Amino acid sequence: MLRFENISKTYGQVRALSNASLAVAGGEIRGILGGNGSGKSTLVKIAGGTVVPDSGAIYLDGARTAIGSPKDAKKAGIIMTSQELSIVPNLTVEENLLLSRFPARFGILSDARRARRLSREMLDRLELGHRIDSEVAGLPENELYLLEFGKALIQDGDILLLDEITSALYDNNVAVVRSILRECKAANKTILFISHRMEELYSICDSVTVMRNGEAVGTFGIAEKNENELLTLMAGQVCPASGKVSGTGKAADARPVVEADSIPIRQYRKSVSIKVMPGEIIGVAGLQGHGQSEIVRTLHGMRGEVSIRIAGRPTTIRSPRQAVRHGFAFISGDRQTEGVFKEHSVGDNLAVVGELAKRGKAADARKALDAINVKYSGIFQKLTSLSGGNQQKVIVGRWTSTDPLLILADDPTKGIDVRARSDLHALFAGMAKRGSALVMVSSDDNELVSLCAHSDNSRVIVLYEGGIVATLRGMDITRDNIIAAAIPQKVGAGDGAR
Amino acid sequence: MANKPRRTLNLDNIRIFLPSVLAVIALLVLGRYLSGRFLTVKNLGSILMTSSILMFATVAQNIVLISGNNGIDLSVGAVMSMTALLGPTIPMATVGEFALAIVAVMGMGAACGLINGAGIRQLGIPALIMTLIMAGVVTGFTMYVTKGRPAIELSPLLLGVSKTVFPMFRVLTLAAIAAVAALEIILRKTRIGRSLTLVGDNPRAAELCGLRVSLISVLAYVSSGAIAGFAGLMLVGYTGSAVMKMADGYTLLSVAAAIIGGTSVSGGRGSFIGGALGAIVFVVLNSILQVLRIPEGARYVIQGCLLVVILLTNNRSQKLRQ
Repeated sequence: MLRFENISKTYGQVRALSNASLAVAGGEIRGILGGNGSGKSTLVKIAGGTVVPDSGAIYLDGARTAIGSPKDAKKAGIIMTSQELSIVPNLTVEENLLLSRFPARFGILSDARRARRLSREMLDRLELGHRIDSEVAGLPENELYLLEFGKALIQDGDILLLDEITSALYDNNVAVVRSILRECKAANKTILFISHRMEELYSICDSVTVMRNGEAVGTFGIAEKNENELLTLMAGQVCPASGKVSGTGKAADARPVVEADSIPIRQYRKSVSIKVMPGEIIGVAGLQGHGQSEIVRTLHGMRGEVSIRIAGRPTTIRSPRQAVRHGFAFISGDRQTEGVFKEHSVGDNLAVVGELAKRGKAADARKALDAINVKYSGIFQKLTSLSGGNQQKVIVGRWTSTDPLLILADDPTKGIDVRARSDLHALFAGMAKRGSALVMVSSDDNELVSLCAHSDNSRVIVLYEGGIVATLRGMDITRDNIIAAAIPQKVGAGDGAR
Repeated sequence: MANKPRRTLNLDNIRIFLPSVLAVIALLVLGRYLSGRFLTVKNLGSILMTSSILMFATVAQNIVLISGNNGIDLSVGAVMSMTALLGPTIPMATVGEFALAIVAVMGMGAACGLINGAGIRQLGIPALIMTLIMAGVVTGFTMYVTKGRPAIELSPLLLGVSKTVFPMFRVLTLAAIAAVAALEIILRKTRIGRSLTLVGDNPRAAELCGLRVSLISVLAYVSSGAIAGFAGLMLVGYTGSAVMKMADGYTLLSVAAAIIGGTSVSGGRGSFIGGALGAIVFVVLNSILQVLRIPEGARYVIQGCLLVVILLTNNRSQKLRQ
């Protein structure tokens, strides 16, 4: 039993938690739902000892427990995973797994044989057995998150705090996590599960707590509220049914903006071809690591030379700079490493492409920010002082003023709350309306459905082992169809072209 | 929500400059207390003159620190020592020749910077190692060429940089102030300057946005070298004579002054004005230690300890902001 009582925490001038109270029983899987900046992660970090609250108390099985450091938390049996991952890139999967709990003989000598058995067992449960000796640096992102999850499990605590552990996972991975969490529940463990994905909350959790502005606004049995009711609670106002999007209607007469006959997908020694029409939205789906990212990253010049045709003219792209000069835009879901300039203001972050890289005129930052619906207090404030969703809007905004020919997006809404996500979708749709084409990879099939299914100028391509196995259009764009195509052995695969 | 456009100094800048300004004032008051002759026009003028050399060295260091990618230039001092020894051997009897000599020493420094930049950017050698090697090579080169013997006759034009223009301000002081101000404007207002801070902040994001990351980083090292080359020649103009390795100590001092001035060691944030104030802090401090008759060796120990303290507080304030 874990209980938070009246926890408050302020970072600088931002109030992350104000008098948040919450109790979770043993054997319960509690979902936590809230927008970015609602205080979910802070709450978890406080229990995990990496953040010290300004006031309030934590009770374990009724006893007030002071948690001042991660060590205290561990001693109390609280294990947390971190959204930022606590994995060391240069070590192997096994070494990472056992980082916080290496089996020892006589307390000091390491026991390699037992270590092997322990990690083998855990990795098999996670379906990562084949990776035991791989270096972590080369692993796809979903496996990193699974490893982070395994690292928490292996410490065998009574309380598991899982902060967006599934945000980069694919459906088959989520199923693994779900069944493991069921086992933990049967072992009477207490589990806090943060996720932005509604269907996961419904399929994994027993109950859900909604957080808003640093407070827990309500806790419900999972069957008590439907999706829209939860979203409304989370937003504090009536939430529009998630993004209906319509592209432009006319495409038949236009020439393709970009054609690529051969985009190499190196890990499978295959290549795919792609043809993009003006204003078209192409969703790219598939299990993680089947070549989706390679398509957008290769087109943006990040994988060396690639030969393409732009409006029919043969062109070679050798670097991201050349891609940008040809009117390509790239938006990464890895905000911290590939998007945000953390020392710079909102205004500077916005001006980097139009004004600096493309040497255009300085745009009116305030007008641009209002147009993309960003909440900010001044253009001189640091970008990092905004919430994650607003940061990503600014990152998208830096390209909008340049009217890109082709927007390449690699899981651009990863870890972003539902409302900001639908704002981003609206932004993309608006750019498509003005003629930009969009190729967007997403690890969330539902996102592709809501972005593409209602538009007659959209399609979803599904990749499997480096080849396009299905192209879905219009009403065929459903989650079931995407999943069926992404796992071909289950169903006979859509177009089957390989 | 949207307030009126405001392009003046914002709070952030004040917060960066405030510690150095307060430190200078406190040290000056302390100096006055210790010695009646401390706050004289003559002494302040000589403090500013000494600071000017360090200001140039700090600018050189700052450019590279701001450029990120663990950027640091440990060859600043060695390059200064080189041009201090080699520079005066160039004839500079006329103003034209003097100008050419300045171009020549800056070219020598720029060449070192180019090699630094190429090694770091193209070959992927860590800046710490590459510039340390460069410092050794430059020192060796200087020794080889000059056999350790400096030019005997110094040009009056070169010595003229320490002429007093008006009380407290000598030629070089004014040049340093003008250079720092001009470079600050370049850093904040021009495309190349703003691109430099963005590249230093997040090189990967900068590349994806289409900025010329490699070119900008190499240019940072080239400009750093060129400015260090200039500073070395000016040092001789001030001291009136050159000896081997005379400017080697400026490497550490330039890093220290830049950090006091608010430059982030991890890149992307920094200010030349801040660095110049940092330079003044160090020179005033050194001058006070001299008034206290603390021997030269002990002064270095004290400066080193102080630097560690500054680095600690610098790190802490960064952590608090997360």
